[in-house]
Amino acid sequence: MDHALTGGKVTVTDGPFTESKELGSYTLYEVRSKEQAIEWASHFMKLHRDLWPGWEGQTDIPQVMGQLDVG
Amino acid sequence: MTLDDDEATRAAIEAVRRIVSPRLIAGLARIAADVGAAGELAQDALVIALEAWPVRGVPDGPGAWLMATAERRAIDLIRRRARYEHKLREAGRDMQTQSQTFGEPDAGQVDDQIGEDVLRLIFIACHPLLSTEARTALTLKLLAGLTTEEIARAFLVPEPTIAQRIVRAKRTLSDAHVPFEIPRREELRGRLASVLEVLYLVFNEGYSATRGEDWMRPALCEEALRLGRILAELAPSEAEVHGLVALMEIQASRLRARVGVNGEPVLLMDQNRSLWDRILIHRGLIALGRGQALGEKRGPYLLQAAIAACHARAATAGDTDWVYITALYDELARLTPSPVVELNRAVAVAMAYGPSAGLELADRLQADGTLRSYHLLPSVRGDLLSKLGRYEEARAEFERAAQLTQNARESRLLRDRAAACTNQETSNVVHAADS
Repeated sequence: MDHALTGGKVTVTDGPFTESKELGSYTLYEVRSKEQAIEWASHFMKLHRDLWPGWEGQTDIPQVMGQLDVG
Repeated sequence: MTLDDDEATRAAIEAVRRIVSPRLIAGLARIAADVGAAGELAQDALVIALEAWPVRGVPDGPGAWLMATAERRAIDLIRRRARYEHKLREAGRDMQTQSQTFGEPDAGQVDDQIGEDVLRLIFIACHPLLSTEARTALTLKLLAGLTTEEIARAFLVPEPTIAQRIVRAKRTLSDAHVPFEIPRREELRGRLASVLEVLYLVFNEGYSATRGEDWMRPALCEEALRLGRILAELAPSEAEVHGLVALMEIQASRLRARVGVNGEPVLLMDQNRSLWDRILIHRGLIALGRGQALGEKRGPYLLQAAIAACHARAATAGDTDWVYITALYDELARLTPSPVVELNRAVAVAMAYGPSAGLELADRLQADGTLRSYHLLPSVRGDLLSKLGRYEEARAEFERAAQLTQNARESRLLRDRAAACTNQETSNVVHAADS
């Protein structure tokens, strides 16, 4: 794209810009529901507890994008 | 000679053609003082090679062989043109010095001569008398060694269009008696800007193709990069040349990571950063340092290179210094105000300070209307709207962007993103019903 505006004030030239061309929200994995997210996290915790006696810990479910209504 | 040998010889000629053709044309243009004739003479020499080499084998110094052959023909041509008689003497002298240097190889001397010839040719091909399209076509033809067919394919225009463009450009130069020389100091900056613009446009078309099936055309990036490197060696005190080279090296470092196995686009956040070409990044950072060390106020290419370097330096997507990138875009926007720069600034602002801040800037561009046919405006707005959970509006924007782009890959990517918005909407509805 290359249009010079009348009056020659601004020339609009397209360029190899990362921001507009390579960016975009990313899909980590698509967790469709709060239940599913909690289920995966619980499974992950259970594995630790089962395989690592005496393990104590907690997990966070961060909201990466969109409105994942995880409380 | 078997068919395979024949094939190998042809491949050798093709490789030699690509490498030596620009130098050949540049040297011949000096002798014949005519870019159009130089192109034809070089072509003739290649045809002779095509006939001779399969029979006699590829000579040891194929480049020198071609140059000597073409020079002989150049001399013949000049002889035929009686009115150029005085040129004959000049050419005769040149040929003597040339054959001496070829006879007793003195690499430095040969490189200097060739370097100057190539530089002169770049300035001629990118002469301000010519339209941007003509400059681009002529540069790719004479300097990148691309055939008319290859250039036509790269820009997806019919071959006769490109052929015509090149013929007209040569005629324009010849009618205007444009001298075959490097511009004098006082006009060098301006003329250089015209050269850099051509390389930038060629690279950009490779980085994100306007039309067609492929998202990128890496061959165009390579050619622009190669010419940029030559230019940087020939004009080492020009900061912006280093800036453009740095920008191209760094942006080219991601080419491999930007497509999936089926040619589908892979966006920055999803790219496997171990696929980024470390050598190109290294070269790019060195070029950036070189340009900045010249101590002038950073021009638009150095600024864009500095932005690209922020991405190159980030080990993970999360390490990207968006606040600094935003500051660089602020500087770029002040230096070269343009809605395209503004759109990219909006993305940086969104990453640094949140999607609402970015959307505010993008909305202003929407109201301004200059970018109404530019698909990346709705694409960016779609992205920011979806980050804000406004999926319905985001979907509409992605669909509009998909319609505006003429690139099939990009259109598909945008349609997929529109569909993802629909899914999000549906799942939100389901959740609302659940709770």
